Amino acid sequence: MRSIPFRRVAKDALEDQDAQRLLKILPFAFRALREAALSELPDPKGALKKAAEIRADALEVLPELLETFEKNAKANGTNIHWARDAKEARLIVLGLLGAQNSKTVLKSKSMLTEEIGLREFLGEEGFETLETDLGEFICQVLGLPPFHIVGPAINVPVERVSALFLDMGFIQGPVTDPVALGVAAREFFRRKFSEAKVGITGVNFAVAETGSILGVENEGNIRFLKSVPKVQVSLMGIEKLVPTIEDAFYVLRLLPPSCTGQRMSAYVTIDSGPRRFGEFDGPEELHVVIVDNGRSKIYEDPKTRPALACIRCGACLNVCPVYAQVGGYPYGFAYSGPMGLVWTPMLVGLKAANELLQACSLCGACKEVCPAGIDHPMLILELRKKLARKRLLSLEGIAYGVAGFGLSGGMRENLGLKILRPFYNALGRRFGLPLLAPRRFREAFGAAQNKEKMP
Amino acid sequence: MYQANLFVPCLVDLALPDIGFATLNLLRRLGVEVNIPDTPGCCGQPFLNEGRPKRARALARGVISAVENGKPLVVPSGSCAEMIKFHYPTLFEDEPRMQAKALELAQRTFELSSFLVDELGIEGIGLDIQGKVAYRPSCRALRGLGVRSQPLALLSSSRGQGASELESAEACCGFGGAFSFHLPEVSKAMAHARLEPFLQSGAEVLVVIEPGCMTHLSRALGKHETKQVRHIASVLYEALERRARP
Repeated sequence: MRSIPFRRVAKDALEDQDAQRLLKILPFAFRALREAALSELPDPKGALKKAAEIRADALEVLPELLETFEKNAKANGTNIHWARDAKEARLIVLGLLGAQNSKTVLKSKSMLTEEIGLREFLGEEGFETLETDLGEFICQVLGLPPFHIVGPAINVPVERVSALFLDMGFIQGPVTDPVALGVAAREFFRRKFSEAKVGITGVNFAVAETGSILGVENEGNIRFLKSVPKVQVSLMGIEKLVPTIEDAFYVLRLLPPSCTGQRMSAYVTIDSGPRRFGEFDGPEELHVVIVDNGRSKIYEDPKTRPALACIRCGACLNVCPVYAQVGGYPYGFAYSGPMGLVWTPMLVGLKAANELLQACSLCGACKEVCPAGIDHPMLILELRKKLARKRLLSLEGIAYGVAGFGLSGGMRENLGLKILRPFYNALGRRFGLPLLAPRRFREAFGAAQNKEKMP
Repeated sequence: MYQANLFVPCLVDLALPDIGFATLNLLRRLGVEVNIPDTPGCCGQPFLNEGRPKRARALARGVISAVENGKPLVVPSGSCAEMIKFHYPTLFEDEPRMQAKALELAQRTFELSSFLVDELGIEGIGLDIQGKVAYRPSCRALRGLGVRSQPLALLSSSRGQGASELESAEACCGFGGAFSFHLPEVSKAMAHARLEPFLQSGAEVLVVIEPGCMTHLSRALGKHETKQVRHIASVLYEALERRARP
């Protein structure tokens, strides 16, 4: 992958008036809602701790959980497919679509499908993929990447949505009421749902004990995709496993509060196999595609493994001071904010994420809100360490070497500093760095000490 | 007499020596005998932050061996104090003997304001701080060390009101060491966003406990007629001086 141009896109974002206006409100609104929702739990801190423990424990036994899940899901009549990487995952989905006599696929929001570029790929293969999550749909039609992992089109002004829907014939005249726009889109989607042969969804949790997959949503589109089409294809990363349904509920209890600030999402669907004899709805075929795409490598290193605990709630985005300044576009990939900094470099490669990895001041706000107990700053340091090893001979590597050598000296005003000072200050003025004082403290202090000692 | 070591962070040593002298004189005025150990010029934090733990470890080794006198180590910077307290022990995971020394040092390392309040028990001594004062916490001190109430206690004034915490004061000012070099535009925008509540408030001095936040916010504020950003050591020392010479 080409290097992610964080700085350039961030500069654009800083000048985008619409984005800036939204960013002044959005993170704060999400945070206030989160705190209100969490405060309704009898013991919010205990709940966060419990969820983090469940995620950490699940990761410890992940290989066994995956095996148990596969066995139990198959016993339920679910088809399990394993994909080593993005390409394999895309081909598996393509194969499943090929068996159906339909060129249209309906899809719900899933960061994993964004990660593996599924929609673009299916488009190239002649399939029309229709996003059924309203925000994702707007992104799709406007050709925009997700601005926020929870609200992908949250930055698109309502007037622009209105104009778009007018163009598409959803509405007859301009509408600025978001609810009315939602209703108009719903009419359109309803017709599509009734015709759909294949539905593609993501997965929030997979339960080993029952072989079930669990999904969270507010719009009802996932419920449709899981009820109407003949074939359901659900994609999940290998990290989504929890041992029991009880564990899933403990973590689920924190997902909507952390995500949208709701006590619970409008819908939670659990699939334990395809439609059974005598049931009214549900797919005839249920396929679960379990995708690795670099996750085993993250898993292998005990230092990076905790990243896999992430439940994609977006709470870290809402407290991140960098995200709050630039929004989601500079992150250049499916994932943004602190969790993007942690995940993206491991998925696209450290060198491609060189600039991205610098987009953190290590303030630690993310770590405080993470319901999965992820220590983002620690992981970012670990990734920077891995990156630095690959860039020993870079300009930065050399600069840090020189600086480290210069700073390792003690109290003395060394010659090196005397020579470097004017050059550094010239650079510092240009780049807005703290400038060097004419005389360092240690030198001045030493001189004062000597004076005191003199008789 | 109470004895303590003073660690002078690289930023203070090289760029902001006034903060070094303010800290030194403040401690002396409060009756502390101050020793400035011959440590390396930097605690190693910038190197750890940039993924260069080897270099950080070399500096940490130098700091640890320079302050083996068992006396408290006072640091006029939350992030350097946090580096020494929490990251030094992790840097020596493969060296049990060094790690033990790091853990021992961690026990007696203090950020300046928490040293004054938690160790010396100085609190609400009624400093006459001129100008309305606002305080904003610094990330590492706040989240890493739990320093929140100590600076506010120290800044509480006998005349006029005490310091107030500003709106969204807990969000990072955008310095973050090399972060401000890598992403200068974002870093600057963060500083301006953080200054907004200060500019709208009636406060004239924004006090911080981190030299990095101080230079960064000062630079963003520029030359202002009535307002300035200052380090807590300078503010406290001047207030004490003023009290001494009525």
